[in-house]
Amino acid sequence: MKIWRELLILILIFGLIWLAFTWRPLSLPGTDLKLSKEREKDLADLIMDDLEDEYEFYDDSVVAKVLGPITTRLLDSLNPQKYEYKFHLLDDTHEINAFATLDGNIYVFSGLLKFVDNPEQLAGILAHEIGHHENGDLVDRLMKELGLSVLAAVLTGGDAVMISEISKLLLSSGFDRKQEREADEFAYKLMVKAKINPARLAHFFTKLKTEEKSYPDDLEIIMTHPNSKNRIEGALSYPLPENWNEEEFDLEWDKLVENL
Amino acid sequence: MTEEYHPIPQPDELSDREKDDAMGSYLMMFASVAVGLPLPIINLIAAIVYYYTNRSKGLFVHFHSLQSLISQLPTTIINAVGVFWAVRIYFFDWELTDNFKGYLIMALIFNLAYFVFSIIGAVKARKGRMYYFLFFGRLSYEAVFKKTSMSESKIQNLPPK
Repeated sequence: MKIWRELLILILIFGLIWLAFTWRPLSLPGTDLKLSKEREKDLADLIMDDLEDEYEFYDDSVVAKVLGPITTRLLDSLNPQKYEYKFHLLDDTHEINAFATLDGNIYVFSGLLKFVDNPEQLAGILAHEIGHHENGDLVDRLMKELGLSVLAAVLTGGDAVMISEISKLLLSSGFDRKQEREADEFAYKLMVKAKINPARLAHFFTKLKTEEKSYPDDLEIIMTHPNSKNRIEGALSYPLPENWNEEEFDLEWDKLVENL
Repeated sequence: MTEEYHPIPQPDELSDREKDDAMGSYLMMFASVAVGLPLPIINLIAAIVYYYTNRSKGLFVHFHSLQSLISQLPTTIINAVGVFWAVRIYFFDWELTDNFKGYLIMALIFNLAYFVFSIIGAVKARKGRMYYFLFFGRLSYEAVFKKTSMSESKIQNLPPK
């Protein structure tokens, strides 16, 4: 009957349009901009200048003593490396946070060092941040959210307000779920290679989740959805190779952190 | 049993009042779609109320208000699913999948098509013309103009013998 044929046509139109646009989603203009390596480095330096105005940086000797053993083990297991990684330690005990900017720069707040139970947990977080770098999430996010204005900021030698906006954006945790999940996956893989149990990251998430409420609201806390059950489960269920044993860091963590 | 249909009223047989009411049934849906956007159930209720108050105003008005009511159903469902899906993504997944993006574009196209066809329907109705949407037009025609056995046996009042 004609009426059924018409209904079929209607349903077909519905399905086909959906399928067509799922298959080939409309890409928004402006997301294809590329940030060259040199520009990325320039911008990373500008962001660092801005952060130096705002926070106290610990000396390289302190960074080498506290973070050195951890980052060396992680980077030795990372091959090939997209960037030459540089780690910075910022003095702010109220920020339980670590974030990545551009060109391999990773910033860690002293508040995070005091919060974690052991260096293995910190290694997990750093591996996650390295993951954002290696997956190209940072450039991707900057270009998506700020696009041309980022390029303009670099080309004009760094408009102070603009640079400050960019660092604020990178400091806040605004990756989407997919990027977070991929960075987590990356972290698990790297941790296993570096002989650190991915479950350490789950311990950290659980600690965040339980202690989140006991901290004041204005406290900046790391990562978009720390209390996500999936992330904890993901870290706990990551398959370990046979005969694999964790090698703990030979650090007196509490003592190291005490002096910060 | 042979299928019999009531004759379709022609433009010059219709009063202005009937034409206005038929046009109103399409325009009415717009107002309710705009109001009910976050929760499409509101405009559905408004549409049903409008339909029941107007169905007795003659076959022409009955047809147009029924067509406008049922053609609104899929758009309403599509929008409701879209809203539900978006809320889910916001609270749980936090990830815009290609599937969802495709769905949004599809929903946009369907809403636009619904809008355009309703405007055409309203204009035609004002001129006293019939206008059949794909599927919904035929469905409404069957529902309104088809003679039922009930309507045939309703002849009780006869002229004096």
